[in-house]
Amino acid sequence: MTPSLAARPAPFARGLGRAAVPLLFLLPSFVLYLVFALIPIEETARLGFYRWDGYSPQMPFVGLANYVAMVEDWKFWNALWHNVEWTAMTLVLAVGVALALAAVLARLRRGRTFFRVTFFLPNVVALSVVAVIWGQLYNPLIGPINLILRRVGLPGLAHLWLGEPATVLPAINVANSWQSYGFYMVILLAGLQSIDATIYEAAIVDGAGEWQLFRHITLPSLRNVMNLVLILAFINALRGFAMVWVMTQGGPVVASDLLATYIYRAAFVENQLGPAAATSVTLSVLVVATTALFNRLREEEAS
Amino acid sequence: MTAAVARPIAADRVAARGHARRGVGVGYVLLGVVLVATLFPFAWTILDSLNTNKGIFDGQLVPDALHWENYPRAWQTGRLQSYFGNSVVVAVASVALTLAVCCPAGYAFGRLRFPGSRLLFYAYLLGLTVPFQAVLIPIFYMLKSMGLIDSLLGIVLTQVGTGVPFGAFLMRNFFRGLPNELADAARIDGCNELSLFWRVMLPLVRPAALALLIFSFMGSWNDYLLPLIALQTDARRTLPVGLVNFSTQYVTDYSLVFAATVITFLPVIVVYLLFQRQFVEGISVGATKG
Repeated sequence: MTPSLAARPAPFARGLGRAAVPLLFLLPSFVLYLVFALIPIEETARLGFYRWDGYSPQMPFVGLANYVAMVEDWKFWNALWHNVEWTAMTLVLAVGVALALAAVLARLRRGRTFFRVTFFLPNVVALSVVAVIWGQLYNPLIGPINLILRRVGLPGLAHLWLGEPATVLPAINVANSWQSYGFYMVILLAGLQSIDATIYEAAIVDGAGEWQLFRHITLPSLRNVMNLVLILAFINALRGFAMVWVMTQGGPVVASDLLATYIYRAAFVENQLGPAAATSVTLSVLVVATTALFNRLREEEAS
Repeated sequence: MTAAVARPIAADRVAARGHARRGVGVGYVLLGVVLVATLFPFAWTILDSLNTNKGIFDGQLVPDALHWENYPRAWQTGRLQSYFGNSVVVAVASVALTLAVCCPAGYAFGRLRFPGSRLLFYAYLLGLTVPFQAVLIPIFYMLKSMGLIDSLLGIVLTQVGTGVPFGAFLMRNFFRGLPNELADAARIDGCNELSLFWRVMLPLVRPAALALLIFSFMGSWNDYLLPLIALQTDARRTLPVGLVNFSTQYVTDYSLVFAATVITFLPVIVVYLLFQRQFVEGISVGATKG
């Protein structure tokens, strides 16, 4: 071997060298992702076909029995329906309010930063902490909501907000929307930055009213971010856990149970790990399907 | 003739402007209502944290005198100091590790060509949409078998591992947007792949790294479900779980619970107010590009 040849790496080594850089860059993230996400996802799917209490060394295969049990459990449908109601309330209270605020702020000449900063404030507070704060706001003994209703002469409207099946889910959702509307508003505002203020001025000169400005200028320019906001709102609604668990643990009885709290209870309170895993798989499929649907809609709209 | 035509149009315009002004008025009312609704829970919590239990129970909205002693009482009675310390350790480690693994991963996906890159990318995309509930149960038993139950390290590794898809995807989108000429020029100047990444590319994606920093910090600091299942002794608990525990333990000592609540949210709010521009930009960047 001549020295000149040895100095140049063989083709194989060069190929290895070229692959070594991406490998080096990806390996740390991939190992963590594999161990703490990919393998657990596979394990959840597998566990859905077995019966296990978390302790016993026996883990019999039961086929689809866990899924059958899930479908036959009225509490599952109860939780799923609450997820639908929860999503609808979030769309009105968080996304709807965020959209209205973004539209108003887009037309505001001064003070936009002040409002944006203030409206985002609740979003930096952890959901579990928000749950503690709002649990006290709804407190029947010291809570200001009932206190104010009584003081302004409307004692009939005072409720045991978190104790009555009819009011518990809306009450928790108000707290959740209070925390999250600022997040959606900031994304919507980012979408509005592309609008030139002179477009509004020109439209006003042409005699357009505020509703027409909103309908024909603000809304169309929000189409792309609106899709994103809806995806996030749907996914967050399906994932919702901390708020309900801290405030009511899904109660009274199961009046505020969501799929996430239903799964938690099955897995860590009742030790029914098979059914809990089957429901986790169902929830995950719902989330992935929702995301795929929205992405499809966006692509169709774009084409 | 022209004047006759012009007049109705002018009248129309005046009417439209009146209409527009009414619309603006409705807008201001909305801003005002939401502003009060946003700030009231904070104000009420802070006011009650400075009141006595008797004052709170009598329905005072504003205390007679400010009882600052509630704060040291809450700090000492509960394990707030320990919860707070644990939360800081977890958040700092989680953010640092997330940035350390996601920046190179995003670079590899965004700028390097290698066999299997598409397949691997789809594997990462899967994790972007799957909810935490999909991994919750196995994670618990896995941490248990690894001896990482009741350990802050277990929390950190799980947070980073489940956060990898979002971080890698966000960084990839930014690295992909950088011009090719820059990399070519650096390579011609004899820059190797590592220093190209470290010296040339990484400094250019600072906004994305900042967005990732904010997202992973918020995710870690506010995490409730994972610490709830994985941390079992009180000395290991982080702030969100600790506060909930505290508030059920001292359920009748209202002023104590309120003081503890304020201690929990105040630091995050101060950090937010100091860096509010970066926060808002980070959220918009992370949400629209991630």
